[in-house]
Amino acid sequence: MSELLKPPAVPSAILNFFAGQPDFPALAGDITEEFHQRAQSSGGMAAKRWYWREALRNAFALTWRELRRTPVQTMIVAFGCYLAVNFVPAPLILSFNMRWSALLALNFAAVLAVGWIGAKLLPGREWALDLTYTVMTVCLTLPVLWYSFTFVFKHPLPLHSWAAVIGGGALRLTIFWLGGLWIRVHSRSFAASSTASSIPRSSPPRNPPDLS
Amino acid sequence: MKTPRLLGGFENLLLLVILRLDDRAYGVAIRKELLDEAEKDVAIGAIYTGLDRLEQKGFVHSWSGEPTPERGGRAKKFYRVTAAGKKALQETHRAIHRLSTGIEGSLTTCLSF
Repeated sequence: MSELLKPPAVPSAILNFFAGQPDFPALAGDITEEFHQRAQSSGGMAAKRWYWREALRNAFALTWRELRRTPVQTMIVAFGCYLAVNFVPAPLILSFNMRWSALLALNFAAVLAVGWIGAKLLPGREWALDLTYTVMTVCLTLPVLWYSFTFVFKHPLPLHSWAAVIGGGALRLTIFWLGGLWIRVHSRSFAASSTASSIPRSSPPRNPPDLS
Repeated sequence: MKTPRLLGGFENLLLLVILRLDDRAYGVAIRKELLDEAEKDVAIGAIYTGLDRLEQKGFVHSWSGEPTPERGGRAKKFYRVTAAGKKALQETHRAIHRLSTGIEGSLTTCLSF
């Protein structure tokens, strides 16, 4: 029965999101092997429940691992993206007498492009870049906005305006994520899991190294 | 005198498990041994993070095994402790032994609760 049983699709997709990480084929193989063992010993439903739990647990572990791979490089790229998104389009936008809809479209296109370029600079660490960029944006933008409106313009921002600022910021973040994750989804590394099944099953085991 | 390289708690456990399993040390077996003997339920991703760190330090060596159908055609990755890893393990255990000498009474009291 377990020979035919396939791991659930959604948690498999969650795991495959981390296919670019080192050791991923071995890790995914281990989880699949244990899934089949549990399907034989405890039944299909229990095995599927276990697989869901493991996929979510490992998503956290693998996210943490990705964040720790090159934290300084990731932070530098994220900061570069933050500057590019917030300051480079501004003079361009101000120099043209454009309609609001065109301005918004240009701004969102710039954010998408910056997310895409940032992800290109950090292959296999796109998720870490998106998370770092999000934390950086929240930590840098909100205090600056609050300070500017409260002490510089002497006119605190009303609550509904804060909602618009936060909503707009969330939309820009989503677009940045789309730009970054586009690269991840289409990268060669993402296809690793799908090509794993094409490994010849009769290939001989490679010998352990002689450490003596 | 050269300062000995002491292992962290999880690194210590991983090296001990790999030594116990000998040439059968791969992800599933390591996870099972940690659960059975140390009562530690660790995500396989966290195990590979620790193993990767140990490999970078030169404390373990890895090699690929045979891909099998029950693993979705993926190969096992086996691990073995290197001479440097055994030395680090010895130094860590020696340090623990030295630090616990003379406080056996307190340890017994702690363990009795």
